[in-house]
Amino acid sequence: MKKTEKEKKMKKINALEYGKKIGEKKDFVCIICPNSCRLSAEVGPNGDVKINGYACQRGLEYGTQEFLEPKRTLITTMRIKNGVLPVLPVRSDKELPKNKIFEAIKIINQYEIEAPIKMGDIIIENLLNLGVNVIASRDMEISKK
Amino acid sequence: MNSVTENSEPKLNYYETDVAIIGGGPAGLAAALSAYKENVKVIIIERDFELGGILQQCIHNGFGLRYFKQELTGPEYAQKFINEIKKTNIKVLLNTMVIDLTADKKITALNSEIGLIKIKAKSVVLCMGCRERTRGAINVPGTRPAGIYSAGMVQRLINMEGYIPGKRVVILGSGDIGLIMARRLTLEGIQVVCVAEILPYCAGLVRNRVQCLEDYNIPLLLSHTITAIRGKNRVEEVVISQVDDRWLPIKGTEKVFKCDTVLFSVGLIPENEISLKAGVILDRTNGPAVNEYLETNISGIFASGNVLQVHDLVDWVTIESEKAGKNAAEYAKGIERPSKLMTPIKTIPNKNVGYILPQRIEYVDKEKLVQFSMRPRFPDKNVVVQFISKNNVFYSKKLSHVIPSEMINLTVNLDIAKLSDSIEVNIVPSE
Repeated sequence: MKKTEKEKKMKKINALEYGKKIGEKKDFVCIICPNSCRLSAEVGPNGDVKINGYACQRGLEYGTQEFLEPKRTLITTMRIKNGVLPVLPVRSDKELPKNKIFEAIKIINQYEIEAPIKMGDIIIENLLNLGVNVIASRDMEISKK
Repeated sequence: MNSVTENSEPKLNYYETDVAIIGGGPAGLAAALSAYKENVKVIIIERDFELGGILQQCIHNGFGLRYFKQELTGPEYAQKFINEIKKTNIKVLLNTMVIDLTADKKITALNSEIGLIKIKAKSVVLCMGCRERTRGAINVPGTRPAGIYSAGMVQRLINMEGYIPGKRVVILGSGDIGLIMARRLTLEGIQVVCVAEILPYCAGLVRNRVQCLEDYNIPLLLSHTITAIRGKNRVEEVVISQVDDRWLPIKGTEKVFKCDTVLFSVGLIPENEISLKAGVILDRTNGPAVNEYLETNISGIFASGNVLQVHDLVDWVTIESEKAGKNAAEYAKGIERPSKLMTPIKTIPNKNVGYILPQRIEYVDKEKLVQFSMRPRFPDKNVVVQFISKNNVFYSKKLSHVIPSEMINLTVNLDIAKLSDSIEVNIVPSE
């Protein structure tokens, strides 16, 4: 029962609000698990999204999200002063739209921070007003040299 | 006999320990913590300036889904273990390279500041990981200019040392490191011209192909390989040719790609030089052949992680190493095992099984749950994994798909009385 309610809820999404056109189609592979289901997405006459080919609820959710607005976790490094290494690995604490990744990297590359840093420290708040923070992936102690 | 002792040469750095862990990467960290929980003295010997091993350069996410039930980056996964180590009194020797190991568990190591170190351990866990195959290992013809790297080396240069290796890159090999580096280079503003793969399918995980190549429109050339590298001082171009089903280049298919850098992502080799010094026998995995305690042929020397078998998920390295660490601690404490079989039971990888671990079963338990890991030779769908002994399929498991890049882990209950001296393992189509 729960599944069908969720499915109904998902079908209420209006794809037109995401810049999709009626009849627009896309074929892609689900990456949630190694089954690698071949998904096909299509915008129906009312702007609803039809996903075919999924084998589970997670696949349906991934397919819908991936078709309407693909999102990725941002992973990169940034310059750090006085650390045991010259660069610090960082990541976004949530996924952000895929088409914002390069813009986000440009912002991050403008920063230079200073050691010491602890894993999970927020380095940049609310990146590009997306409601996403950039956080440190590890501790970075001060270099003794 | 080793003549160096604490008394005869007081200046020498000498340690006695219950368990010595060689290597402070993901395997060593897990093995050390698990041994420590058994209330024994533990030493980790690590050649780098910090713990964490390869995880520190694998800054991408996707680690820990099984073990921590959350998606972590490599450094985060490592940090969680390092933080646990800091709470213990496990002795950590950094910048220390093990140069010798004997069958009676004497370790010789070098440290750039304090010099020679000798360690006497009751048991040892080999956690040295693996290293990359290079251009030389696959005999790519051409000149020898600057700009030729292994993929993992560039990963370290960019992610830890802050260097950019070039501007236009061709990657050979579609294993996970190759795919992840294609994305990483792209994000750093470097153009990835293409990824060439000699196999007719992508060697890495599907999620990596989608998220690393397709996201950035990087071409993947299947059944292709580099047949020449050109350039005098710096790489100027590579020639890529299509290959036939025997991996031989097809004449007339050569294409030239301009680039200044070539990355090789062509496989990993377990690093077992130290193991060999102790007399450890290696299997077709290039790692030690072990029994169900993850113990090598040398009593009290155990192995886990990539030095044992090249893993695709660090979570399994952790799970395997926790077992090896616990077993090494119990060995050091002298805890007795169940009675030993007269003849060990050998496991034999057969139809579409590339290898299987453990390679032998040596002890009789009442409840004999053994964790097996294996890889198929080629991808297949709707198969069944069969364990056969005395012409009887005593265990079978259906799988919807198998691919060489994904290790298969199965826990099997063995009834020793019903087995002969060998177990044959097949992956065959299910009916």
